[in-house]
Amino acid sequence: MISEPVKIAPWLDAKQIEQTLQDAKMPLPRKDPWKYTSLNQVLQHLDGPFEGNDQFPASNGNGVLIGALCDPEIEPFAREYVSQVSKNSNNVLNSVNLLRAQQGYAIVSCESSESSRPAVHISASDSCERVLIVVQEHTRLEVIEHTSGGNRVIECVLLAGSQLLHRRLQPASTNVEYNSLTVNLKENSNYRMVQYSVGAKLRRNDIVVNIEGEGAQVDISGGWKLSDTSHLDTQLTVNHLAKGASSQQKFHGVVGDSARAVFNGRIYIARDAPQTDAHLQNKNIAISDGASIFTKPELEIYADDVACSHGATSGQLDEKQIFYLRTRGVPDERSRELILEGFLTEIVEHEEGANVLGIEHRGME
Amino acid sequence: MSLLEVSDLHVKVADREILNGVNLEVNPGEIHAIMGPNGSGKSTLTNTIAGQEGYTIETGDLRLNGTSLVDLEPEERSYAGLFLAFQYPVEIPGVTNMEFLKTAVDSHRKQRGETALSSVEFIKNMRTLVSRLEFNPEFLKRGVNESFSGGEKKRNEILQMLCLDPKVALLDETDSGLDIDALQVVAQGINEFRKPHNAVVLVTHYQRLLNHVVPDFVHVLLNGTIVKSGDASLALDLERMGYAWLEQDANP
Ligand SMILES: Nc1ncnc2c1ncn2[C@@H]1O[C@H](COP(=O)(O)OP(=O)(O)OP(=O)(O)O)[C@@H](O)[C@H]1O
Ligand SMILES: [Mg+2]
Repeated sequence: MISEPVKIAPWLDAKQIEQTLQDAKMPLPRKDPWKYTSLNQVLQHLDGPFEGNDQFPASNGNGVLIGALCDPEIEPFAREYVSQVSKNSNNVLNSVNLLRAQQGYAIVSCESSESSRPAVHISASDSCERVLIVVQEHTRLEVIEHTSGGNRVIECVLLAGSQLLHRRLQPASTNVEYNSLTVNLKENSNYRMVQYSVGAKLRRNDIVVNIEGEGAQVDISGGWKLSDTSHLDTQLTVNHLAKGASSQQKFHGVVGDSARAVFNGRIYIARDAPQTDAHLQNKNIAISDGASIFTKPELEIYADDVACSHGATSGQLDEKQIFYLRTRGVPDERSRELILEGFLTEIVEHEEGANVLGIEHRGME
Repeated sequence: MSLLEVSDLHVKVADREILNGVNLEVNPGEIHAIMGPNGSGKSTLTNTIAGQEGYTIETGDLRLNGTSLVDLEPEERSYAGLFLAFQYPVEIPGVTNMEFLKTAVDSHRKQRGETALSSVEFIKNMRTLVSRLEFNPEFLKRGVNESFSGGEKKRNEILQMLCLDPKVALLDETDSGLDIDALQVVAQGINEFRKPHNAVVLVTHYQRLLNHVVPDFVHVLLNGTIVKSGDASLALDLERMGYAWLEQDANP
């Protein structure tokens, strides 16, 4: 069999990937995890066309290597990790992305110090891209990612003792957008992510975190404010596969008009992951009758000696809070705004995040 | 003209008549204490005056400075000079106490046709108040009442009262849950607030606070009506004898 190379990573065998795609069970539309988001619409989107983008992300400093996957300096990392990081997630869309990707690049952190850490900006583009992020042992890296209307699959590996701060900004968009993120953590590494989202025609974020090393720490939070007919679907899975690790997940959403928010947060704790500390929370406020919210927390525990909690709520603004503010002279409208801003502020850590959500930043950075 | 006038007030909550014919007249410079057993309708009275939804006025009137409050929104009642310190202040996570207070004060200023205070000016004013109430300034940065202890929430209510400087302050069990020192601080706050042109209505279960803030009148609310009014000595009688003797009076 003569195999055709994959454009962005020629050592990969396209035929073989196609074969795996054919053998793999395609997810069923209208069934979890595609119950509320049209799989067909996403597949159609992945068919393109995309505008494309030939810019690599920019870094603000030294200590970080950025280049195409087949760049000689990058290739050893790419060969080791591309499509390997996410191989257990059974996400066929990751394979589709690999075959279609117009651009593939890696960000590899090589050194950092206590006082400085390189920051890399990934800009939004209507393109089909494959991204590899390798945070090498004991280094620290910051990634600021903008998404809007493309298909970006990120595979990310945090080697022992490393740290990655990732913030994802998702501004208003009239497009369909599919983002897939897989993060594998080795021992004592630390991954911190905040995702800020407003409306898009359809925006789907799949996030899978695999804690493979003891003592790793994960903290993921997100906020959304949706209006008009926008649709946001976040599917988050955190797999605790090693002992003594901790993960915190906290998402707050405000949904108005006839927008729709979907959140599925799953924590899986393997038998080999005792002394896990894992918490997940999603709270939503609907501010219109037409808004719809589908949220589901899932907890699957096979280990002993773990501390876990999970919860998901959706409701309206609290009339008692509104009344309290009004008795102090704050007008009705302003009271509602203030409470909603406060609710979102609880997850906001960055000024750009506050900007995306259209609220005032309260300087808690 | 009396500052606050409650006349023949009948209030229904969830289809049940809770207040049936409350009369109360509060004049400038006066302090009134309202006492009564649990569930007698004290909070219903204060919440109704503040304009809480769900508390339906069947008949009767509420007047502040001669103006009827009945058709006013809660914020308009606040602009008219009414303040309610809640028995159970709510928590509003994510909204800092400071921005809450500034928004409240600025809303009042706007209403009076004044411009908003600069942040610097406002923070200066707040610092003075906060130290007078022996309040940790850190509380200004925290979410409104968020994870405050019971006593801290009550102190925060007094802080808001001093900030907004109302004509009539209704304090619903602001003394409950306070330690001995905090009670002193709150009492001092109330006494500093007292002016010849304003008035305070205290809802309380105990004589403790009344030792520090001496009321001109004490009223007993029982089953939705005021069954007895007297001077400060009535509170001492209640402390000794409880309410049973009044219930017999009320339902012969
Ligand atoms: N929102 C409500 N829905 C239903 N019943 C209510 C509501 N608010 C008050 N009530 C009822 O009205 C009655 C009076 O309650 P209220 O809170 O006014 O009593 P209170 O005198 O303040 O008591 P306490 O001393 O315990 O604070 C109680 O029987 C209470 O259950
Ligand atoms: Mg009460």
